[in-house]
Amino acid sequence: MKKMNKDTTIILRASEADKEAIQEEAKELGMSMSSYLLHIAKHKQVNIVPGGRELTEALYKLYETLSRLERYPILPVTEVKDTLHKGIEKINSAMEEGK
Amino acid sequence: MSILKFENRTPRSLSEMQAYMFDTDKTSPDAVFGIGIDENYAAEQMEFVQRMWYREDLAHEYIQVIFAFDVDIPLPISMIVRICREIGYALISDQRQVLGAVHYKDTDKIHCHYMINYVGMDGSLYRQNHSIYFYRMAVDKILAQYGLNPICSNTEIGMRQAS
Repeated sequence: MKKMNKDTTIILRASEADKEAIQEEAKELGMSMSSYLLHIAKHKQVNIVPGGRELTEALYKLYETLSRLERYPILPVTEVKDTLHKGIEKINSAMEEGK
Repeated sequence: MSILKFENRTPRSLSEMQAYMFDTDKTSPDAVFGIGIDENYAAEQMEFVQRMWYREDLAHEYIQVIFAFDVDIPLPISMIVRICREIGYALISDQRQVLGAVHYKDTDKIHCHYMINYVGMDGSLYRQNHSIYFYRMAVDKILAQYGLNPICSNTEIGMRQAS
């Protein structure tokens, strides 16, 4: 992913209705208005992964649990982690293709 | 004295930083760890979280922190990794992915690199919510539990270099 320093400004005039619609869209996605508009301008669409954010939180907790269980060799922790990552790779690829 | 440094510059990408941290001339697989992440796929999994929150075009994708132990640490690597993991938790105040790697080969001072995802699990951006002094005190508390020297202040480092 490219890193970009935001060191310039765009001023945009819009109707009140348009502004509210953009604000609402951005809010639903958990983005600021400017982030939303920049995202659309760059990617032409917003790819939504239903449950994606809940998944990230669940994965975080799962990895924490797995790291504690690594001390028990009988548990297939590595296999579980590999399986989890395959799922993440799949979603990452789908979002890449969606661009 | 130990050293704790928050690195402002992040010229490397996530994957480049991971590759640097995993350098086998500096570390080994058992000296690398993840917090809330699979350390072997840290860059991809951090990008995944950034994607879920539409935070793909960040000026800084991660925060880099370096913790260096004092010289001649009489502890096995496994214990050092454990201490570094505890320090990793002290560096974050919310659920946030962290990759840690202890560089112990070919170095005078064993040190740990931390790569902290700029985007947390709740989509929030990393803000150094506490002062450097706060983090220093939290790390000193961990070091004291293991009978290790606390962190140098910048003043103390300057005085040492001057003498």
